[in-house]
Amino acid sequence: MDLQPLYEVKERLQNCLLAGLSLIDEDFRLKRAVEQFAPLSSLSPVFGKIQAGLLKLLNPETSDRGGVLMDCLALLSAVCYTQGQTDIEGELAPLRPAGGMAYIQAPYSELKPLCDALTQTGSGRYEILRQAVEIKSSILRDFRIFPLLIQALGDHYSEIAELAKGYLTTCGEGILPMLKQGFDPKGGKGMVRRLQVVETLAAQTENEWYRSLLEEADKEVRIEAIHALRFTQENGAFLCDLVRSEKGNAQKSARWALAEMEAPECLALWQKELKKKPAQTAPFLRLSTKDGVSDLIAEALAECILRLRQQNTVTKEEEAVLSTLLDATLGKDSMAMNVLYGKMLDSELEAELDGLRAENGKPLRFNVGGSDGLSFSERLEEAVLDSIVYADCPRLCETIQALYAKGQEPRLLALAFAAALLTKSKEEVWEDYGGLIKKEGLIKKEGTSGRQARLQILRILGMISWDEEKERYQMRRWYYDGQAESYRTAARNLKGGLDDRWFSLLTDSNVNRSGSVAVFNSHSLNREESGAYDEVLFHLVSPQNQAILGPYFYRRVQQTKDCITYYRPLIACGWADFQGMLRAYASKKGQVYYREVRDFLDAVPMGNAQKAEEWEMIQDMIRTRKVKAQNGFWPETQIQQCIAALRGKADRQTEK
Amino acid sequence: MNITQDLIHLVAPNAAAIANGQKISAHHDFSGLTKSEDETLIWGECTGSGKTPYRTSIDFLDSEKPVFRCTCPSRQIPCKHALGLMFDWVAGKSFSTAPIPEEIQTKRDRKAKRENQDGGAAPRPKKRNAAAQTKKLKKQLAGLDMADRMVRELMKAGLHTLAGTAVKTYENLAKELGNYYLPGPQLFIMRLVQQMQLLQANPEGEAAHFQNASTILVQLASTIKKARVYLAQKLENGDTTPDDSVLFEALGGVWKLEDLKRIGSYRRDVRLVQLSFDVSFDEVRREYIDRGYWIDVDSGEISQTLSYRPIKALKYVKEEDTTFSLATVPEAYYYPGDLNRRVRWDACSLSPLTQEGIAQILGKAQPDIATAVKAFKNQAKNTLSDKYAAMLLPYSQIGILNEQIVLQDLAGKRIVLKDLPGEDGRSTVTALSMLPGAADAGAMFGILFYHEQDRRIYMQPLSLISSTEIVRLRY
Repeated sequence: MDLQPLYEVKERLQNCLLAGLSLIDEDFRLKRAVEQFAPLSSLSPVFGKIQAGLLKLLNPETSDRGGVLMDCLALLSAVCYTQGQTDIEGELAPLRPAGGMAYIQAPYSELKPLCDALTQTGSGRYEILRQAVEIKSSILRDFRIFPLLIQALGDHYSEIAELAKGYLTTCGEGILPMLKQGFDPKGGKGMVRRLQVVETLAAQTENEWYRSLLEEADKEVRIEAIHALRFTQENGAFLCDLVRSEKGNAQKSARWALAEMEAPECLALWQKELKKKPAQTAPFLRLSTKDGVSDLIAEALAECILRLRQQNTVTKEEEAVLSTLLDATLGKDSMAMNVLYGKMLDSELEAELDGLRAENGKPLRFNVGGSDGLSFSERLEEAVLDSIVYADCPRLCETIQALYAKGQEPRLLALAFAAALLTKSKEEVWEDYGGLIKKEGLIKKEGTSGRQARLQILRILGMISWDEEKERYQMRRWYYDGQAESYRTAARNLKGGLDDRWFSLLTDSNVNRSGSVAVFNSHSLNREESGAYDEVLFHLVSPQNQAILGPYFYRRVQQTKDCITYYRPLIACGWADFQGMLRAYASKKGQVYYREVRDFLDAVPMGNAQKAEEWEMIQDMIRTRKVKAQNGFWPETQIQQCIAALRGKADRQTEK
Repeated sequence: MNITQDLIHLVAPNAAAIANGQKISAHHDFSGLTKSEDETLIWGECTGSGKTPYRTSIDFLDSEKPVFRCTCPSRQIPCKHALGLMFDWVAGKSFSTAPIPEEIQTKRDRKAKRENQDGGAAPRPKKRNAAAQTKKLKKQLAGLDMADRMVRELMKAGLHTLAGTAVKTYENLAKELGNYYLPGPQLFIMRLVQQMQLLQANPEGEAAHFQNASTILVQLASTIKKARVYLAQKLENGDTTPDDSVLFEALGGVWKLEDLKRIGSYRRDVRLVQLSFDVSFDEVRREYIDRGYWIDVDSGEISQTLSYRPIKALKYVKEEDTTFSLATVPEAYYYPGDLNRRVRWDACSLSPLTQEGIAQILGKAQPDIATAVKAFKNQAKNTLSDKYAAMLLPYSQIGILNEQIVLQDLAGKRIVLKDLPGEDGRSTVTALSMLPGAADAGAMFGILFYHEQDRRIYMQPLSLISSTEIVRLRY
């Protein structure tokens, strides 16, 4: 039965509602629809009833046309509901849900805040998501939440998007189909992050997909898709074409990716560009550790040095070229580069290059990481340290150690010590370098060379810290990622760790602690003269040396009366006895700063009753004017409440 | 005493209180955790922002109606401290045994005394003022006349005139209906205005909004027509008490449990399992609606709990939550209605939902799609009834056809799965496509609805029931 006239007449009546009953007499379409409906009226009583109603409606004599219209519409709607179809013909294809998800039986009160955090706007969202990510909540893998996490990669609040990205990169390859599903090559930052997650999880495995994206991808996604080609060496020729055909940031991205390629045509392109525009080209090659690239940088740097040696002054452009080429030596360890290192580290050539003068007649200086200006030899030393930490450079480590072994030159000590730590056992390192730090006696004092050697050793130790997660000592350096335009941390495990004898030596009271040393990620303990020395040791605290370093720091507190400086190292050493430290500190200093006292008492492992007593003791000292409150800030009421709370907790613990 | 996570979620006033209770438990803020020998009472002291710790207790003497007591100043019952105490119990923390404190024993005695005075009988229904009720009915009839005039004027002028200043006029008229005890028709007019406003703001969705507007107008006209007869008859009979007509609620009447009991719309010892839960926001009512769909494990009837939380009183109204357990309800009260009657209860006890329970639920599914659709059509064709119905359908396969997800029953009949219009961003069909193991046979719980533009009946999936678990696509 063709019910089209039924739907037609219903639609016309609804239009009457929109236009108004006053126009119904002129509605010829309605009249035509009613005429077309007429043949159906005989098919069933309800259709007959509708037909009768329609005729009544069209009759100008009808008094209650509104009521009739409503009755007709009610009847028509009822018939439409009863005629609603459900069936659908054809072969069913199986439903294939993407993997990586599960069903977690979680109530609305747990799911909804997370859903809102991932989909809504407003404050408080980050914290909800952060907590879930932090505890690796299983709820994040729920099939109702997981798609929202992918959606959140495009969140306008970039911290949330980055948090989602960080979590997704830990979810394994199983989620790749979901990430690729509904991917919009013309999308914005959300799609870029999605692509970055795919890159982290799949790397070269998805090379074909990356290439397919380029057919449609626009702007940011295009830039990232081009960069994703870096994983597959076979993309070399294609990337060379992209360097020629793309413009702007897409072209830059092609260059970044090309820096990872070793195909001859890629290296040829770089060689050509390095010759033409070295200062603009070298930054792209900075993070590459490929030998082919390393050879090219070595060649360009050697040429540059050769040219500079033949002239008296260095122009601004030449200065920029030399600086970017030295930057680009990061992690380069090819044979050619090592030959060049050998030459550059030669004392005569170093001295010659140190003597180079800038256009203004002043000695040539390199500005690196906020330093005041380094000479060529100092810059080279930094470059070598950066290289051996950024990448595994066995040849470079060997070169440095061989050079040092040849003349035992103090200028190479730091480099050789760092290289030894990365390549030799801890016993060997101790044997070779442990003797360079001398203990002082009543008569025998540390000479200039001894001080220099000690500071060089401490400088390298200042780059080392204990990684609790990996349970290893790591040497760390900053490096600049030109593509991300940000500084990042490079970390490399020490081959054999640190021999315990280092700690016995460094905590010996006869070792001189004076002198300034830079410490990686400093906690700024440098309050006292020898703060830098102690900070180096603070970073070296590990479960194995707590028994040596703990008593050392305690001794330092006794010597300096400065528990505020040393409580964190002491806690790191598992120290439990902090009794009386605060009183000694306050007495010596003559004034206390509320926040320092609060942080100290919050952090130290004391019982609640004891903490309350410490607060009361300081309160008392202030009341009796034995000490002053720094800046006059001492919130009495707040402290009283704190003491009451501590006492309350202590009482309940006693009850238990 | 059977404290479970589900019980905590059931009694908690809102999600924030649950989170705070969890924090209290995780931070071990309670001291002196104690239980009575018969394990009907637990208590403890909790560190709070006050000078002295709060004394919190939970009395399970009546396990279906636990009593929460706390000395904190919070107006929420149970407060976060009581929830924290329950979380401590669930976490298996050690509770020492001690005699019931005197202060609580006194309170227990007073309560028992009160109940004894009442003789355990249900409170006597309030005496109705027949004269006032008659006056109200007459006022309602006058209001219906006014609403009828309004509808007729609107039909004469056409819905398109419902724009600009006319909107304000109709809003005022709708407000006026409130003075005539007609919140039901008032809501219809507000919804009509809303649809026309949406239509004007979003011309792309014109067809759907106009369709909705005309459906609302037809429903309003029909309600007015039927309600006039209904009220006139009641006046004539002198019967002013609520009866089992759906018109009582359609006019905006509010059911009291005692009235539902009086008309016999209640059942004893009902065993219910929640199949789906969701919270939506009604722009017109300015209320959050917590809706839970429940299946009666014994009869197979699917009913719904509805909790309205007005924006203005959000702080004071309990937010409902998902329940995974089997709820045994001593007295369940049902509102008059069709397929999915609204159900309410005062107290219930929870027990874990077993595999046998799930098997029973599966056994209560509709025989096939055809039977379910027939029942739905019977409901939908009634002008005053809902145009959707929640059903439990057995299926042999879920697959894809023409880029649509399709459910096929054991007889080979099919229905396309689609989200209800207006569910943007909350698609359960998409969720279904993500669900591992969704295609395995079982039963699907969802909402059948008629799609005006497509002239088809679809189903929005809400839960999947397998032999081992109920998987919810929403909450």
